[in-house]
Amino acid sequence: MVEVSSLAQQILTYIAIYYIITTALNLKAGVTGIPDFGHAMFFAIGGIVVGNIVSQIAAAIAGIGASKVIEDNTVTLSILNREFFPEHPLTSIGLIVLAIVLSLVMGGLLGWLASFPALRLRGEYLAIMLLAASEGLRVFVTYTPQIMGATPTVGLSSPALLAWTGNPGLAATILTLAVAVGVYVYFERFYNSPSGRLFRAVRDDEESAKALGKDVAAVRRDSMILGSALAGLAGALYSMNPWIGGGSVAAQSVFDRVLWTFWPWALMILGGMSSNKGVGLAAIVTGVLILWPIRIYKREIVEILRVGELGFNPDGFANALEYILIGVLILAVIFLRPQGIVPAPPSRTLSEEEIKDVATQPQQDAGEESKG
Amino acid sequence: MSDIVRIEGLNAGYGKFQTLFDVSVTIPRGGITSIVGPNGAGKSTLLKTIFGLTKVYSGRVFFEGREITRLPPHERAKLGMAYIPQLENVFRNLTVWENLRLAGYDLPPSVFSERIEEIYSLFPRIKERLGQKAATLSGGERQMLAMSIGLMRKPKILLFDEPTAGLSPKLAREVLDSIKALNRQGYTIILVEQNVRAALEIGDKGILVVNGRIAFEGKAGDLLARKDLAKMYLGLGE
Amino acid sequence: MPVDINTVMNSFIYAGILSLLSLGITLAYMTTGVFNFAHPRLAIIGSYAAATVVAASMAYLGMKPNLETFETAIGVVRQPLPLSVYALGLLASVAAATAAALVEYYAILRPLQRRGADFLKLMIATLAYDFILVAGLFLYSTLPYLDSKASEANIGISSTSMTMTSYDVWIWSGDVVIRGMFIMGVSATIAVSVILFLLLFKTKLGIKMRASVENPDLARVLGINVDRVYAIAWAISGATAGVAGFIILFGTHVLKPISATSPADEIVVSAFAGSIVGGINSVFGSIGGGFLIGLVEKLFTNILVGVTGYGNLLKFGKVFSMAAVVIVLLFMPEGLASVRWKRALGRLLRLRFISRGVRSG
Repeated sequence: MVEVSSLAQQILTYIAIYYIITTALNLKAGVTGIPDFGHAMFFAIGGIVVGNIVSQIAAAIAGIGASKVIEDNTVTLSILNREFFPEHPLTSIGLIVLAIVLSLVMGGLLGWLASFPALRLRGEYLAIMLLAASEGLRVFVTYTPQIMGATPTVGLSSPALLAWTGNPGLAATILTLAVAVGVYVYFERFYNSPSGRLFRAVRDDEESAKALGKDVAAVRRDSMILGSALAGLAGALYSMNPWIGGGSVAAQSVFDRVLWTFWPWALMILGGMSSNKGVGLAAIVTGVLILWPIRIYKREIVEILRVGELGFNPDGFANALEYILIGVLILAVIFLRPQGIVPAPPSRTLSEEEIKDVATQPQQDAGEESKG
Repeated sequence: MSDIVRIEGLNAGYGKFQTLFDVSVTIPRGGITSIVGPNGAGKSTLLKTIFGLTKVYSGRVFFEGREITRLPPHERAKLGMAYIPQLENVFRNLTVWENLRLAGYDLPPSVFSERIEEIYSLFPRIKERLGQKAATLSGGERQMLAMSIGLMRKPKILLFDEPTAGLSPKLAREVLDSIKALNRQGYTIILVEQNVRAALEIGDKGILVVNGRIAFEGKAGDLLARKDLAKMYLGLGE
Repeated sequence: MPVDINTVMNSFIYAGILSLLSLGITLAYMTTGVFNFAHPRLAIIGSYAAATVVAASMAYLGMKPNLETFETAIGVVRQPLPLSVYALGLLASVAAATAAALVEYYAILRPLQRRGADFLKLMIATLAYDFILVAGLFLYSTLPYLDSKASEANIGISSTSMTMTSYDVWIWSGDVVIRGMFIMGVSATIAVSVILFLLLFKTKLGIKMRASVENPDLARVLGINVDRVYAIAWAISGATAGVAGFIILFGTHVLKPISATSPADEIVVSAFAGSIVGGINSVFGSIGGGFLIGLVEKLFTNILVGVTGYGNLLKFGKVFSMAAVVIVLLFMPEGLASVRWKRALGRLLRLRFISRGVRSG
């Protein structure tokens, strides 16, 4: 029973985190058409905020000295996590708020920086440049002790900002879910607001948006900033979460391009580009229909498929099965439902196809007339 | 049977958009058939349908008495049809020689060199440009290369889609003259043209397409003489 | 000399691998307009196939590592395995990678293109294929069969990485040991460039290929089976990945995919960087781009360490190569091949001429 409830929390957190990070990507790639293949770096910023900056501030407040967080990370954090955070709920809450704000600000700042090439380069080149920037930053951060501590593979222990609740896992799940719901509500409104429509207009038809006097570059930049800020927030929430963050912030996990760039891309395609409901549903579907049953029934699956006889171990097989099924699911969706599970509702500005429809209409009508 | 192409009750278009409605026409062997009509009336669609580049909803297309309605373009090419598109009708990054080589890629070497000689005699200027990239050719030369590509397999019929579009009047004249010359050598030609008067003057048969339907089918000279049609659809005032 | 010969050789092996991978990415992109994110994985599939075949044949032959040496004209050669085993390994690597590439093309990309999928959908489809391949490779690598064969043959398979560097051929030329994979890495890159040049510019297939890339519709009109031409390009792309996989196995090491998110695909980004830095529509640009990225990442970094004496810089190789990508793209938004080199060189020469003129005047 314990296992099931912890698994439930894992899955819920997975859904919430992936809803946020994918929405962040959706804003850039789905809505304004920036092919961000370096999305992971913005996520990582949130992790660095929590693992490094917030811990340092906490250590300073606790009187241990901020520099100790980097110099002697494991010991300092275990002292903080055991003795400081559980006793100081208000400070912890303050630090959580600070982490959220800082991750948004720093994610947005990096997004602003990245918007300069984003306005300059063409599709494929931009995609690879952002991927390269993310990878370069990852290696830089990994081996810079001032950022990620002395042992790159271990990284920094994460601060137990939710220890005061008595059940940090549950609290983290609730916090993450609450933020995800907030993000969902915000974007449901945003996409139907005038600025949301402007964002979509840029992707649908850049030329006509320009012709209408809209500042396309500014829209691109704004979507890059907002999307990256949101990705930073997701990174911060992830790093605060003892269920999936694993109690530490390491460059190789927060910069992981499969988890935080490719997977969100897959979920976005799965759900339907620029579709808010679709992204949410994609996170839920993959979490509930794939990860959940595989993680609960991995032993049974291995037994039924008789792969144990071949020498596979259940954990490894289940892990591989998740990826195979996700891969197959993505392919199935692209083949059978290329517009995604929940296609985005048409924006009010006319898309290129609609314009074509209208343009060809009179000709057909004329054809009908001459018949009569 | 003197008709090389016969079309019966054709409804065709692109994807969902039907542009040809209940079209029935015949193309006589050995002549030049000029298809004219206002912009967007479906004349290019008709030409493309003959080569199999559109979607046919109903109706039938025959080539030399054999039904080819569902045949893919490269199969039609093997039967002896050559289609010369309006735009991008040569490979710009390939040299002139490579363009020709490609057009005759499956011909036996002896036949290939024979065809090449014929093309040189038709278009001496092509021979001078062999090593040049097609992108560097002038508009007229490019049209000639496009024709040469079409001629490489010695087709029975040549389908020209607005061969003079974008050319100066002088060059356009030259291109039409070479089409006329090709016809004299025995090639059957279907010509879609914006330049209505010139097209009908060199044509034997004239087909007027309006709103996806055949408004006139008959001798080219007769079509030119029909003042009502000429005025209304072809912009040929007095 | 700031760097030793071994570092130089390792850098060139790496650069050769990247060159081959970048080339494959570019070929696939040029023909089908797809960024194949699964491409570097094709090479790893090749590595596994080669390892399996080599291990199996060593076990079959009952071989222990054979460290005997013999004299040749160029020096003393240490050749631990019979040549036929290397050949078999290379063949297996190329065959497996080519097969995986063709499956990707025929089963996924071509049907998707027929349905009118756009650039992003195709790219995500290759990612999905990569997920499946990674999981498959991971499962394969946990098979006891491979491990037992590997340990039987003692090819240095461990829980995290696999390598056959100890079976690389060594040639002593004076005091210097030249590694077989260094020769192969460099010569394979050159050979592939030459072969591709001949193929593309001197054969009918090459003309067809370039024509199908430039204007598939017109090529179809001329009766060319464009799909088959593309499939051939994909096969070449896969085959070059297979050669790269073989060099990876014997020249460096293959990190096992511990899970789908393991760093086993570190090379992905560098390979894409090479392809894009070269100019995504230029076959020969990609070869140069791959080499450039490889050398910046390894050789430049090592020289920098040698010059500054700051050993920590070694870890930052990827930072430099990625910075090179960013810089190249900022100044040449369409890659190296987009620069009109003749004109740029002319301008540069004139500039020197002028400055000299100024100085003398």
